[in-house]
Amino acid sequence: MSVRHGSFTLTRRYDATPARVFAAWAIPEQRSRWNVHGSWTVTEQTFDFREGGEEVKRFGPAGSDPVHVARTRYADIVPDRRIVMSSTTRDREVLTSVTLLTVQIGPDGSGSQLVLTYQAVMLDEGDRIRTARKAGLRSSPSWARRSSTLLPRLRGRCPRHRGRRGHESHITTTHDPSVRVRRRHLPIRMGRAT
Amino acid sequence: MTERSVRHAKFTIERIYPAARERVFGAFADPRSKAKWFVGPDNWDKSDHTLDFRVGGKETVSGGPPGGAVHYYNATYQDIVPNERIVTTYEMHLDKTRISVSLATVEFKAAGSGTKLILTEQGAFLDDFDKPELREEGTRGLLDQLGAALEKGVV
Repeated sequence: MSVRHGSFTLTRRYDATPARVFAAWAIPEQRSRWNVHGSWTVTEQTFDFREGGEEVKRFGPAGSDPVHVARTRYADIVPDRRIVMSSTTRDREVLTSVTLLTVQIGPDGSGSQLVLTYQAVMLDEGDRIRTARKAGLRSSPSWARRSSTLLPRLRGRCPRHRGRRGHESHITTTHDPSVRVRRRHLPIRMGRAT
Repeated sequence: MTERSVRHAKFTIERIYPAARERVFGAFADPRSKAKWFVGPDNWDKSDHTLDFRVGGKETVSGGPPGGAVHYYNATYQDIVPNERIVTTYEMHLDKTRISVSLATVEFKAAGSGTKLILTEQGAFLDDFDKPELREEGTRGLLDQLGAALEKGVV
């Protein structure tokens, strides 16, 4: 039995209005286009985007029978501004983590800034890793990788352009020192999805 | 534009109780026991406490100073390992306003003939209606009440 608590924050700038960025989370057809990374696949997804709404997503590496199931409950939704949700993730019916995820969206010049804060408790990690090794699986997908494919239909801009004159952020977020802030400066290219 | 903010925070509280692990865990698991210590200050008006202690089960309680705003606690049990661990997610409302969403882990470890309890809360505190410092202070008060209930032998 073990528990490990962790957190991280990701910041992105998108050349799209807060309403469009919010819609990419709120509207099922739009979220389906980006909310799984790279070679992973989603085989089951229900949508219920409202406060108190619950969703189920079954996912895993493409070509395998997905064994990861995430159940998400939306706790707080402020249109175009904020989404707070809690999730459980199970691997072959075994609970592996419970997560609190906050998405904050605000205007940033002509575009938007998105701040994603992930707080979680990882359960019985050693046991889980041994199980995963036996099954030859890789680690579960991370939000950092997923956010690099975030909103593929929106044109994004590298976060280092933030802070330019006239690009004042309207997002207020405060973190205690235990929250690790990761600012990535990848030239995120978000072309039009075909 | 309406001011919106989120303050993310984490705090950990440790307690050692001179009581067996099964008894301390039981004070969380048994609805009648939990209602004895998981309550606001003596002078507050209080609602009934409801607890459905199983994975997916809910817990509710509310209360507040006479004539003042009512604090509502609504939790969902996410993980239960008997005598070892409880993980909940919960929301707090002040009247109709949601003021926080939290993830709380309680671990129970044997410490000699007693029990070491480790409570870790990770939270998103919304729009400056509540502060992590106040939540931590309130949670310490609840764990003190648990200690007193164990000492009196009422849980």
